[in-house]
Amino acid sequence: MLDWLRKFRKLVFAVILLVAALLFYSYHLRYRNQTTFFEKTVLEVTAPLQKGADYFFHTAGRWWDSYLWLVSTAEQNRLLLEENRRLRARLQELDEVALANERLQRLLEFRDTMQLSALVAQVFAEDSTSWFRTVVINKGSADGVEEGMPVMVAEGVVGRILRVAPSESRVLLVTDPSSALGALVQKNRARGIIRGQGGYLTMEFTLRQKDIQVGDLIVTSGGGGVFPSGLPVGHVVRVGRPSYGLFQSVTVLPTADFFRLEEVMVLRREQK
Amino acid sequence: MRRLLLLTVFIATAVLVQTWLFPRMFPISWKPDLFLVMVVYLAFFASFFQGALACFALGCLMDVFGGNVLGLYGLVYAALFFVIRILVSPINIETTFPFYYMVALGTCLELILIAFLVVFFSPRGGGVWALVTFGLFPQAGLNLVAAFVLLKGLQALRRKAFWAADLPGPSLEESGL
Repeated sequence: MLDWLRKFRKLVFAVILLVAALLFYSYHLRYRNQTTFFEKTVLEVTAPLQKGADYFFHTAGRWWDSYLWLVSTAEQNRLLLEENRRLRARLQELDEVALANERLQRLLEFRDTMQLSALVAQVFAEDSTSWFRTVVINKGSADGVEEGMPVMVAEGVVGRILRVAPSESRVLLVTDPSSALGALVQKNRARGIIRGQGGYLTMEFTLRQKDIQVGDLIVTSGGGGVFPSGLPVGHVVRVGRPSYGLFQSVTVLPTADFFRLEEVMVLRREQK
Repeated sequence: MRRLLLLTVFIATAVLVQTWLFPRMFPISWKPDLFLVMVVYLAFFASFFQGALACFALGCLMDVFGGNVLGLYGLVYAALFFVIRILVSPINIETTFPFYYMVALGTCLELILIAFLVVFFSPRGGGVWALVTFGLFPQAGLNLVAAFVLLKGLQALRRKAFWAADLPGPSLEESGL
């Protein structure tokens, strides 16, 4: 027996390691929504280094922008001042609209909807693989963040909390292939499931007789218990209606710009 | 012992570059996979038992940094290590061409294994096929470039730095592709 084991020790080792790895994976698959001790430890240990690297790149980028591109600074300054004036005017308009909206909401007793408190967090690291879409934010369980909490920016839905460590969390973006959320077309309330496809989204299980046009806004439906209803998800960019079948295929471009994620809001479960 | 220490430092540097430098250098979609290149490197030049365990550990680290279910990449990298080890056992690993060939093949196998595991074990993983279909060639190209730069850097290091002479790698006389 010992001779046999010695002779085939590499084969036995390979089989044992592969079976153990498969069991390890399937065990964690069952508890995929929980953050393991190993993940927490790695996140905690590497977070200071990641923050340091982030600081270094930001500083280097600022230095580059400040000193090496002075040639176009005057023109940029003029354009920015112009834009600033335009935005200030727009902001005043929006303040008026917001006040009017607030009064109307009070009148219509809609105050109970969308009353989740929000926590602002900063994105400091991105996914290190090409196949999955996640980012790391600087708020964790110590700040009240929990797995499954929705994350968004002013433009729309970003994703949901996937893993939580005491001072940082990993966010699964809606563009990740394993991400799915209930959504509806804002104008006619046609329902569907939004799935991530890497750089864009698709809306599935939308009945083919529903009138969906390019440019329509897609919002969260509130089903599934993760995202509150009415949050913007994206705009329709392509609608395909095959000659047969129950559903139409809808391609959606997210409203949030995932290439420029800096600050995000984590929506907490408690009321404001 | 010295060789093992050098190998550990070499792999740790690759992990640092992959997890902290690449996400800032490349857009969110495509970036070279140095972890995979390291798996191929270990399959070529590390001992059987150390290499297999190192690949599993690398995979688990990749899972944490990628936000995947813990063990997904661990299983994939361990399987890739064994497959590449079997394939390269009868060939001369002193030249660099088999290394590049295995990096390209490893990229394909990695994608197939990930897609299979994600789709097979997760009811919501269907979308990964879209990434696999469109991403295979750009990812293989990036990985080949990363492997080329890594081998060139490794050879230069072994030639010029006395302390790195013990690092395993292809023959120093080899000129590359």
